[in-house]
Amino acid sequence: MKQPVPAREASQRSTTKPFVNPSVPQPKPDPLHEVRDVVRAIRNESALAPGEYLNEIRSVFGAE
Amino acid sequence: MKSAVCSELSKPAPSQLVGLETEYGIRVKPKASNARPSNSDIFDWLLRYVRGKVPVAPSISNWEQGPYAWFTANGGSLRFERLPVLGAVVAKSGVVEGATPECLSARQLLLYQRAQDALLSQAAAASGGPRCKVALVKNNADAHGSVFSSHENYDAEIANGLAFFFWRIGLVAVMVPTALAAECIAAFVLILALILYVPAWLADRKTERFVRWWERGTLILISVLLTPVFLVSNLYFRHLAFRRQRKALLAFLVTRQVFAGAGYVLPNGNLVLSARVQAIGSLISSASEASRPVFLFGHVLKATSFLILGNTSRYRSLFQQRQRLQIAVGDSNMAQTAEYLKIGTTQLVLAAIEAGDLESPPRLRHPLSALRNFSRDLDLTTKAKLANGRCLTMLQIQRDYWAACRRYVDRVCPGRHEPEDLLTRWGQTLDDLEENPELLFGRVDWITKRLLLETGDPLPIAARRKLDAQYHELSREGGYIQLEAAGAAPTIVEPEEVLQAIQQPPPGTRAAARGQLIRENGQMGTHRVSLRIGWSHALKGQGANREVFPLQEPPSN
Repeated sequence: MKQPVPAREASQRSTTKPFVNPSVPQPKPDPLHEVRDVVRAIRNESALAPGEYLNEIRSVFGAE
Repeated sequence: MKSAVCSELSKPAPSQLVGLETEYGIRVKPKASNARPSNSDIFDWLLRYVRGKVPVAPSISNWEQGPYAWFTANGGSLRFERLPVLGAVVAKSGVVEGATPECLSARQLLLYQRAQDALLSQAAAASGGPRCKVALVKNNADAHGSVFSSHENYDAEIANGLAFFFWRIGLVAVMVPTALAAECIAAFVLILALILYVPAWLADRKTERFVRWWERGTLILISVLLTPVFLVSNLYFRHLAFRRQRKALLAFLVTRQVFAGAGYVLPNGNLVLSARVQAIGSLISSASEASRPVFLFGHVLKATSFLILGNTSRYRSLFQQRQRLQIAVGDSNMAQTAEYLKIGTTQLVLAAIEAGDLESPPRLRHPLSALRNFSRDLDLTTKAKLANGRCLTMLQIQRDYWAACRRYVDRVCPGRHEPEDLLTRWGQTLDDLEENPELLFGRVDWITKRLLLETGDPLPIAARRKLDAQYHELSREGGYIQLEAAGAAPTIVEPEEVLQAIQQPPPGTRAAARGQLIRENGQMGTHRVSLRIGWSHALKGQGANREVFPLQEPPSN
């Protein structure tokens, strides 16, 4: 069965899109383009003593 | 029938009420060789900070919670949630829980949830002093196997006609004996647990491992002994409580994780859509400790237990036709868009159900297995079988609900801002999930985490798990907080509004009256006034001079 398709903000999108030839595959937009440095910092941080970090978080228990 | 969601601009109706309860993990980084403080010590530090920032008042239920349950100036609550039964013995173990005041719309609730997050994260940052560094983590599982909750409360009609009559009869004929049996069993287990605890206490061998095993063992014992009690009460809930809403809502909640899932890295390193889903074991339950359910009715059993202990107000509220429907399958969200959609779309679907605009909702043949299978479906292609034999993906089921809500809004309140905004964002999110999920970076938590995990060289399992947990940390080290600061996570509520919402209650609900009482009579610092607050009423003064202030919803205009 064909599913109803939610209405997009078509006008908003169409006015911002340049003409593209549909037969030519276009590169996907890079959502991380402007935050590469932050993403890199988050990933680098995750590699630092991960076991220690995970052990520092407790929900129910806290005392040794 | 009165519209539930569409009247926010004209008639503030009780049916719009919504609230969130959030349990936070606590990260403690001891400085030098200091031992880790207990969670209850940290709660005390948080409370001291909060009392210096906003007026507070102790909860009426403090007799059952100790000095661990408080209300703040905006009408919300802050408590140290201790283990049921075992809290009497392991008093220092528990979680920090915040509950928003009653709100009227999804955006308002998002605002008050962020205000709560902001106040508590400031309190955490100011805690610890020279001993340690403290931060709260707004997720749903720690690395030690504990799962903690994020419960949504929606005001809805519990039953009508004959079913409502039998619901009321059952509150006396079923719930009172059930609660009595539960209390006897809990008392027996507590005595037994105490006997087992004493030798270790005498030998001063209360290591965390012992306490954890002791707690797990006691919980298993109490769960087994309470099984018959839960079976009886669950049967009662299944047949009489929110039956229409639950049936129509279930497939929506099973598939809502596609945009509301916070993402979770399993111990094997694999990412799944939702953390809470991994712990869900039943559709209905009155005890989240025994089996974490989709629909939680713990407050009904608790209210009946309090009746036996002499507190009648909560029990009396169970006889009302509109009550809270508690949903326990959702994750704690960091992304504002995800949180706004989670609450707002659920409100819309509930409103459509109650208005009769969702006559033939999708019915899953095996909802619990579908819930788990969908949570592992990062490509969004897995299908689940419906009762009518069709097989649909999460997105297809969501589109069915979207279409029903579109019809409901068109019929009842076309052009109203929040329903239209929700439908637009919901529809666009479903489109993006199908065509270009990368566009949802910063808007949908599991997509954001996926991109963080997959951008660059593969990370080892431990680093993946740290990235997952740190994403939820409410501090400058938190992954999401960093993304938001960099402008990569679009916001719906602004920081200035959030600061104001820490001090002021939402207008139009009983939270406004609660907040006013607290601001006029509450405590800041060490100054004490005899005011105790509850969700439904407040008590001022003591003995013969005690005054009772009912906190009722303002009448609809």
